[in-house]
Amino acid sequence: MMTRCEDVRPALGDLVDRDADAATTDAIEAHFAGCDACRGLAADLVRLRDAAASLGPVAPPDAVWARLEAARRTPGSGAWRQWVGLAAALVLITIGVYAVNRWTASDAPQTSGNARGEASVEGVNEELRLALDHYENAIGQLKMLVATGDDSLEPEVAATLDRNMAIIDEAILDSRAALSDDPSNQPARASLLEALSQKVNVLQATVLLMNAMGQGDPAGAAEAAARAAGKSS
Amino acid sequence: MREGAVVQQSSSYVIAVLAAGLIAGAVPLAAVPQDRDFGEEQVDRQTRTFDLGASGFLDLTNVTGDITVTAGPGSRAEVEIVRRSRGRTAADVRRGLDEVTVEIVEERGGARLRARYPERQGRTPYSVSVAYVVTAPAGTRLTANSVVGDVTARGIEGDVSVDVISGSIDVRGVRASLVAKAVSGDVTVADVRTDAAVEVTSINGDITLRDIQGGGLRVNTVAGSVRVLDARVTSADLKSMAGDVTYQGSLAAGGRYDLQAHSGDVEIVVDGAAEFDFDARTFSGDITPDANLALTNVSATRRTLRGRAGGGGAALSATTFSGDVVIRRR
Repeated sequence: MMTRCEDVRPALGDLVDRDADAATTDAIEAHFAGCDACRGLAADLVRLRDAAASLGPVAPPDAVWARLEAARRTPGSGAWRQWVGLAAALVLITIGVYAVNRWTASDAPQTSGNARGEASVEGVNEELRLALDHYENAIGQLKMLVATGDDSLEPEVAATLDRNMAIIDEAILDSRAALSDDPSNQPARASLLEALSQKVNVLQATVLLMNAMGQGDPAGAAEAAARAAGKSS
Repeated sequence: MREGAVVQQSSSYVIAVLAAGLIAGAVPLAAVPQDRDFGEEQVDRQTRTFDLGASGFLDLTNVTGDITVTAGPGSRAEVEIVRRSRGRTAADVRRGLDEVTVEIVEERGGARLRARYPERQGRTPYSVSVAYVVTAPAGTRLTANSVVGDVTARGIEGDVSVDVISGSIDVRGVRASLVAKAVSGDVTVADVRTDAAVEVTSINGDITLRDIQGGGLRVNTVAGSVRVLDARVTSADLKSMAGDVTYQGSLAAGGRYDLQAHSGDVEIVVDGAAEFDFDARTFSGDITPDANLALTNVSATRRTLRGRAGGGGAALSATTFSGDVVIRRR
């Protein structure tokens, strides 16, 4: 019977990954009834797992590689360096996401006492910080992609995009301000992760639209953009 | 988008359409209703029939125009393709119809239709929209992609996937998986009976699901409300950033229900007999449980509330940053 936090916390990873057996699950949930700290840790782990899963690996759009290859074959073209940078950015995003995604990795090495399965306040805080860093990294690079291709945006279009982004940015600011006062606040953590995830998704949708159009496939843009927009669900 | 709406659109509508659809030039200018002296109009209608069998597929891709799909008897699908061309002169209108076409590919067990616009820089002397009006066997697996336009599906019982950049989605009579995604537009789903996944998202739009029975439900919007009404599902993950989130329905034993908002309220109305473990949190809002919930094992602070209704079982979580949480029994 798990009655102490130090007994429960090593099993939280399995619980979140739904790998815990029924008896362990029941014991942990019984412990939760009287322990807000462990319950909060589990909630954080769930959100980190969901955030990572929702972001998913970002496959560099084919158009990026096509343009990169075309630019590379053009002697004296300065543009290819730009596309190298863009492609690299997408790869970095992918790598970053995979790093965050370890909470859902089924083949992660597991040994007795492995830290993967254990949860502590410090450990979860560190995972949260890493996740936020990866989000910020992805957002920064996606914004660069959008900025590179937005010369075709009509002012009205840019305004609409800005309005959507403003909603998300306001949520990010709200959450960050709340966390600066109370770093362990659960609603603030949940909102921050969700807002960052949404921001990545909206930026991805915009990038995919641009790339679909670059391939001369405006109809395909609907599928690509909506698919990216829906990743967070 | 109703029939004839092309000539009745207000300038604000056109701007809204452009705002979403022209992101990075996703819509060819030939597909945009242009506010010029396009007094001439000509409509071309053609009907194609495809033998899909009981569970064939239909893949519809469009740029500008509505897609309407209705279940019908038999094993054949009938697709009416309506191309509406506008221009300043009759010759321009005719040219629009010549240059904007629909590519049709028939494959084993299905058909793919795709609107094709000429690759052209700058303005065209015409504007062409394409609508698909479809009657298909109920078991058809449907994929519909549109840049600008509304998509409606009625009684299609195969897997349904709808992607729209700017326009509404309305799907009724779902019996298999449903994926409905809009970048800018409202989504309405009703009469769902399936254990398969139901996933509905929009970036900018309200989402309403009504009379939903089945397995997992995932709903998400950034700017809009999420309303799930008369639901009997085994799990639900509902999120909105700048809107309210509402769940009204039953809670299955062992089910998981996560509702999250940022600035909006979370409202939960559970069926009378529901037994569940409740966990509500808000940063700056209020949490208001109805007295008839009869929660036990209550642990509460000003901004959190945990408790058990009946013997527990379903896990019900409500989180909002600045909104309120309200829960009551129906």
